Amino acid sequence: MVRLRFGKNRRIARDLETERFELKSLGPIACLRLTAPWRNDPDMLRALFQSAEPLSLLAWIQRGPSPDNLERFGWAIIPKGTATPIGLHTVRFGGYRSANCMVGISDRAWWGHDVVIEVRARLINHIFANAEIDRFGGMTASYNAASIFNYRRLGFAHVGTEHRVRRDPVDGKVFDLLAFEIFREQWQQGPFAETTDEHA
Amino acid sequence: MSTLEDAARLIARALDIQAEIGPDASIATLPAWTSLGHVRVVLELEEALGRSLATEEVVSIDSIAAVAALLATASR
Repeated sequence: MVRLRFGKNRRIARDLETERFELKSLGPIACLRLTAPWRNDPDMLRALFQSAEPLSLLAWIQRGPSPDNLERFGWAIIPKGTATPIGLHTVRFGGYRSANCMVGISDRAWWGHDVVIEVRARLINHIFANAEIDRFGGMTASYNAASIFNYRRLGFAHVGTEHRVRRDPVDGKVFDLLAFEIFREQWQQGPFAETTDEHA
Repeated sequence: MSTLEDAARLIARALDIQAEIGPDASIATLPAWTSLGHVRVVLELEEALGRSLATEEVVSIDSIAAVAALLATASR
């Protein structure tokens, strides 16, 4: 069910930038406009839902990324000097001082160019500097070696595996789900921590 | 030849690195070790071992030493 909430956490929901990208904070409509075409894209569906089963527009509205900019946030990833997003990174607050992240890079030309490392590092620094969040977590499928790499490269610890917990209805493959997490103090000791926060 | 040398050769092949790779190289020190490069490392390793990697084994791959440890399992 879609919940309508009003207001905006302006400290979090703001445009950011990295060395190569503009990160444009999105509302729910802009996010839907960007991501709705992904509901028939097997690669994007697997990246976001670990299932390649196509979704109707209604199902996408209900289950797809939908920033409320209070507890759920989304940034379009736009290469500098262009106007076309190549993907979306979301952050969702949930649990005790905890946040989860999810990403989809729809432009295949950017795969393998460490987009996720650069963007996620910026967003984690941003969230730790501007929100009462002490932990980042994420889940990924065991077959997604690229996603596993991204978590490990950023210093996330693998903290658990749900073995044979999912089955992709399209190809029938059964797979594990992996849980990763990193705490604020661990992040701050790692190579991607920013020593200053220009947004504080 | 040691498994560390084997691991370095496997990583070099997967990541298309011509220069020599030191035994302490890792995902943090090799710029060519990107997310797509990591997929190639996993595939090369599975081919070398002749089997699919278990989930925990895939997660453990973050350095030459980790790849060497997995290669060593084949010779036990």
